[in-house]
Amino acid sequence: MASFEQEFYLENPGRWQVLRRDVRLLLRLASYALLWLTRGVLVRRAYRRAQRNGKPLELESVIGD
Amino acid sequence: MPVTRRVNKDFPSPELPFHYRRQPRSGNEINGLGERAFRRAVQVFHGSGARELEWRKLELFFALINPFRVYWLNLVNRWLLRRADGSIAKTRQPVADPVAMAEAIKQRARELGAGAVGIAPLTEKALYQGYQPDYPHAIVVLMPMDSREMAFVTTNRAGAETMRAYMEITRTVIALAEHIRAMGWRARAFGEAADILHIPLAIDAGLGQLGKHGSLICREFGSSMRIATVLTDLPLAHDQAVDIAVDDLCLGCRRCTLDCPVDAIADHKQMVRGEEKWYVDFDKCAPYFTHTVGCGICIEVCPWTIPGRGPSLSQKLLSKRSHGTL
Repeated sequence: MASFEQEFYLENPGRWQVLRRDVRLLLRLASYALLWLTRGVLVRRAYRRAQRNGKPLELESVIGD
Repeated sequence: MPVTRRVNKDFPSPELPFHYRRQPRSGNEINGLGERAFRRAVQVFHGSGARELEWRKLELFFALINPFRVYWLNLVNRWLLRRADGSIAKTRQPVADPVAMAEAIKQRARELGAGAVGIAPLTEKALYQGYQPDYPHAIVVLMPMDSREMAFVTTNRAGAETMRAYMEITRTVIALAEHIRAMGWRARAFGEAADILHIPLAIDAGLGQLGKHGSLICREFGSSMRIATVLTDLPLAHDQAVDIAVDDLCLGCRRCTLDCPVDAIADHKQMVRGEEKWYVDFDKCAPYFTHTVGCGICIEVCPWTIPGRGPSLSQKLLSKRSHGTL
């Protein structure tokens, strides 16, 4: 697995490398934002329900492998 | 004018509304608790993405239950970090005096907003397993957090302040790294979720000592600050580790131990990867940390964190020690 640094830090990059990196990073961050807005809604709903009911939520039931 | 602090003692219950069906391997075991030989640390939680985290599900759960403002600030921070490295000037500015250069770099860091700055060699204990950066020096920067906001620990408000401080320190180390590269030397900025451990570097850089709550304690800001680092090959003189009498207080003080709702903080030092040091029980801390937007209780209740208290506290403790009255 590549770390954030290995993926997005560029030493002495060319113009195209910078552009490609920026586009890839934007897409990655957009996917994270989308995750919060989609799966995150379900997770937060289940979390709130667990807080209300007093029945603990199993992480595996909302976060898959 | 003295800053008034409101420490909310009505902290959330340690009874958490979530749990693992199948508990992952203990973070304490992964972190080498009880091991007498030195080895590098392994990422467990809040990783850099370099390896599959054992506690990955809790990490994702933490991200997804965070309020959007905190989550958004984290994304912005990641976007800023793309400039952590970049073009290096073709003409290298020679360095005849590493001591003078170190002073000039520290001055520049302070102009860029750093609260404190120190320089240390990059050593093994600051590196995670499987990572080998090719830089000899680490410039460590501290950025204080707003104590009025951090008085609201365990709430979204303190979580947002933490992310704001991360962003501010990210900007500072990026600008500092750019400054060094403009001099023709290699420099790379590291903020949150980095491949390096900031605390051992900060200690070696003379910025403070490890506290009982497992965080850095510095004279100026206590533990209410964020740390970031610039790795570079620019020739720089190193600072020496300091003794500000953190242990003198921590050995007798039980504030964080007693206030931690999940009893994650031990009253004694423990052997961790070949070093006897203060250690926080990861398995107890991380789930509560997740439930409380990054918790921060131990930092907030720490006597060193009271604004303006650190310098006089350190002086008093050192004086007591020298007179043998501790």
